[in-house]
Amino acid sequence: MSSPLEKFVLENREKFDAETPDPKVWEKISERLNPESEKATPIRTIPFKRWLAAAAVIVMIGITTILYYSLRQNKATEVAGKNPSQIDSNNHLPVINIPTDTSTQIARKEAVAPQKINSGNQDPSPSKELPETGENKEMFYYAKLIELKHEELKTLEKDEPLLYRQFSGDVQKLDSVYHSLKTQLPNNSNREQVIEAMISNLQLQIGLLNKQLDIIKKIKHSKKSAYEKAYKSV
Amino acid sequence: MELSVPIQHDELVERCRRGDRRSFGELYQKYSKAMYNTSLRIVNHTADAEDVLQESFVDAFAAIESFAYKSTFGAWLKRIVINKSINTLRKKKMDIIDIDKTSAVHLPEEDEFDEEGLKLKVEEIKKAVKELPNGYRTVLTLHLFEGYDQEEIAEILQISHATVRTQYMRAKQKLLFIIKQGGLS
Repeated sequence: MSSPLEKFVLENREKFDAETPDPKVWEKISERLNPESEKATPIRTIPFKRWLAAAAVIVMIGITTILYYSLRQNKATEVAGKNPSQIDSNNHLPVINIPTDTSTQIARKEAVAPQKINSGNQDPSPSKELPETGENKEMFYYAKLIELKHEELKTLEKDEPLLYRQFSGDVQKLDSVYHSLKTQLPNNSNREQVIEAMISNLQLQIGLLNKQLDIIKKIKHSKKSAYEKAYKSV
Repeated sequence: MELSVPIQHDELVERCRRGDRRSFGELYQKYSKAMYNTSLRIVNHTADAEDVLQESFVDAFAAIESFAYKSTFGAWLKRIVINKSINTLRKKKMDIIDIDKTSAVHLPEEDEFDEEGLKLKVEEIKKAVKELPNGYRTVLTLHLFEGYDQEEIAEILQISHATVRTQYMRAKQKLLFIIKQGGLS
């Protein structure tokens, strides 16, 4: 269907596109493109905020790690050069003194990396007879913690002898189970299970001691406030 | 009828896809004139054609990520321009199909004009195209200037192939008639 008209148009096609649009058309187009580019800028800031958040998380992890290691080192040295009078004064045991359940959580966290615990501390401990394994070190650590909490609990003996007897009785029950497990260990074929039971026993002891210390703290606090109240009313 | 596309065309489109604002300007510079003339031939009104141009580029830039190289970028953009131009005509309630009544009178239908003897000039053709009724003009420009075949025009205008064919034949005859008249007067 190629007539002279069609041929002519095809040959002169470019000449038919001679009209030029008003330059305002582009101005209007770019005006309408602008808000979109402005919308694009906050999208660019989101990654920046994410970077900030990521940096904050890293800093937090860093601080936590540093605190964790420094506190654990303090603890180890204090345990190594154990001085009962010092321990009694309470202030020297920052982590172990926290008489809440969080310390058991800390203890569990620390159990994740038990092999890092300083094995150079040749203290009398229930783990002495056991071979040097990860569990052994874990138990050694728990034993230390329990020992310290025991010392702390002992301060109660003067003020609340009845409560102390009750408390230490509870702990001793658990401890006797622990010792029976320990005696089973060399003869038992299923060592892993026994060791696990021993560890969970120690964890229970720590939990119990924490609760007890918590109760003591509350008692002390209520006593103090009652005293203050009485003092004020006088 | 489509221009062959050199590689830098694609690079320009790719830069636009990456959100390079300057490339949008380049793309506009490259295509705006052809697109404006295409629209102008259909809507037959400079302000309308400029509106179509503006809307088409805004839409094309917004949808540039969906452009999938099924055709050249120019062909893709032209379809946007043509659709918007036709919509503009329709919005103004200008008939696109039912146009036979207006023009049939003057046309000795099967009698072909002697194209050979007609001295064709660009300006005369342009002027004659402007005088065509909307429906004829649309079909004629889509085939004669934009190079779409009957099937494509039928799809664009949502009319049958037969209608496209008869409309085109009549449109062409009328165009030649107008040119001849213009030449005589």
